[in-house]
Amino acid sequence: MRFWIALVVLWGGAALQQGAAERLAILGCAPDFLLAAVGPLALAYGRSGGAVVGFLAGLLHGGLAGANIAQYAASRAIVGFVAAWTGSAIEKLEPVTCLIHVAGLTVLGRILFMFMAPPAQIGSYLLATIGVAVYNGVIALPIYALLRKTVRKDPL
Amino acid sequence: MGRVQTSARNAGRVDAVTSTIQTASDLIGRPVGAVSQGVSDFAQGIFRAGSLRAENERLRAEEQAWSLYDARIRDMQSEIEQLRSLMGMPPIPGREAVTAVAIGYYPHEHRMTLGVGSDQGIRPDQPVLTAAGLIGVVHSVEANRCQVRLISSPQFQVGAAVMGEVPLEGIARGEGRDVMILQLLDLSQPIELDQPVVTSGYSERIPRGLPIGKAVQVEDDEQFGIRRVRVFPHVRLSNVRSVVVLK
Repeated sequence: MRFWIALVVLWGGAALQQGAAERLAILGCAPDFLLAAVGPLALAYGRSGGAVVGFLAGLLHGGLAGANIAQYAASRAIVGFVAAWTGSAIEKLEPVTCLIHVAGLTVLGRILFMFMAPPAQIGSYLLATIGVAVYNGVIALPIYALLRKTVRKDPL
Repeated sequence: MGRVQTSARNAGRVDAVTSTIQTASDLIGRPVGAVSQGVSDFAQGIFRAGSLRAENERLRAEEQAWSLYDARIRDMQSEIEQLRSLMGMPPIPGREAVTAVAIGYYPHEHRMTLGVGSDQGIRPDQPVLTAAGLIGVVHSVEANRCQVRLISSPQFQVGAAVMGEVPLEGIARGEGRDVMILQLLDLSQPIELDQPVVTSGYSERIPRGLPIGKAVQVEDDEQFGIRRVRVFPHVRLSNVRSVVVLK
């Protein structure tokens, strides 16, 4: 059950990433639906599960981008692991906590990716990272809410 | 995985993983894309209504400017064609050709204004023609422009001849925009339709052989001994831009 939920969330994230992300861009910052989904999922699936979820998210993102899948998969797998690790320290999932958690993970994921595949303009990439992080934090809130009502009722 | 991707790219194709992911994502991604595009357009329509309206008005103005520009281009191309034709006209002995541009055309008055006048040596009764044929004679002259009485005018008369085996000569006069009437006194010679009609040259100003048009209908009035030939002019007066005045 949990596996299918993760798959559906990631698949939905991939579809949104492909069809809606660029159109929802604000001030040049488009949301990263897959990265936003990794944080909440990793909280529900533990460290190793989080790393697998991150890996799958990276796989999907790399495939959609038609880019080097390994760089996406590796950076997102680390993010998934860190998400579960840091998430276990969160005692109560408040909306603000969730937002900060995912925003931080987004920054980590994009910086890791930057080292693996350096962009042409690092300055503008880092600036965009801030916007994407905030955007992802907001997007992650409904995912957290959804997972609390589904995955947490069906314990890991 | 990287090696699989690289080898696939080197072979000029997409690797199986990427292809599978893209196909799977397309199932929902495309509808989602279409919906988000619609939502995005709707939202933009609301939030940017003012600027969209301004942009719309600007584009309409640009379109109008372009259509005017396009019309002007076509006009100039037509003028270039006419000038090329005029340059290809054979010289008429003893006459000097003055090229002129039509700056006004008044079909109901059977009149055309040219941008040349007495300063260029233009005088009344000089013939005005295009490469296709005669269009009228100079009627009145000012310093830098002149008025032309067109062949369509009922007041226009010119000596003309139907060029058959035996040229049949008479007087042609205007009968409205698209037709002239040539009156002949010789009813004995046959006239075939589409035979050319040219100036007869019985005039100080208008030389012989300038094309006018072609015979399209022949009516014989045996009681009065008159033959009336309807002549369709070669030149469509409304299309004339560049002409030559023969001095």
